[in-house]
Amino acid sequence: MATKVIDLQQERRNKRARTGWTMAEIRERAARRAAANRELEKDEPANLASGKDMKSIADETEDDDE
Amino acid sequence: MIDGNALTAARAWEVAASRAVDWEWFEGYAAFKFRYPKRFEVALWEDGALVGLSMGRPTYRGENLRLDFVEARPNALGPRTPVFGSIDAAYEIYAHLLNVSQIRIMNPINVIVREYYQTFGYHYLERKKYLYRNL
Repeated sequence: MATKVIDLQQERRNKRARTGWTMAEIRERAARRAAANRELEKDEPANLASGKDMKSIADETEDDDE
Repeated sequence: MIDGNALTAARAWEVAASRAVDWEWFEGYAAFKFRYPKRFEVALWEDGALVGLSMGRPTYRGENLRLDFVEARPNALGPRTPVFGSIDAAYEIYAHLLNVSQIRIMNPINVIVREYYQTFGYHYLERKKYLYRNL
C-alpha cells in the first residue's frame, strides 16, 4: 500500500521549472491564447499605449524581479 | 521584428493629433536595443500599414518577461484592427521559450487601458505600476 502522498500539480510545476516547455506545448498554448484573445480584443481602446518616458531607458534600475 | 521600415512608418505617428504618448520610436528603439540584447520586439502590419509596435525584455534575473512599451497606431490616422491580442500571444510564446513564470505589462497609461488589459487575465499591482499574468 502506498503511504507517500504526492501533490501532483506541484510536482508538474517543479518538472516544468526544470525542463521548460516543449515546442508542441508552446504551439498548442499559443493557438489557444490567440483564439481566446480574438474575442477579448474587440473593445480595444482607440489610443492603446503603455510604457513610461522612452528617454529614461538608459536610467532604468536593474533590480526588477520582485 | 522592428526594422527600419517600421521605425520610418512610426514617424507618421509622432504628428498624430490624438496620440496618447510623445515617444520617438527611432531614438527609443535604438536605446532599448543597445541596452537589452535579450529584448523582445513586435511590429504589426495590416495591409502594408504599421498598426502596432511593442518591445519588452526579461527581468534582471530572467524570472519574468516585461512588456515595456506598446503603442497602437493613433486613432487619428484611421481605423485599424485590434493589436493587443496578437501582441499578448506573441509575448506568451517568448515567455514559454524563456520558461519564465510571469508576463508583466509596465506602466499602463490610464485606467481605460489598464482595465482593458485586465479583461485578458492580467492583475494590477498598484505599488509597482504594472499588470501581471502568471503562466
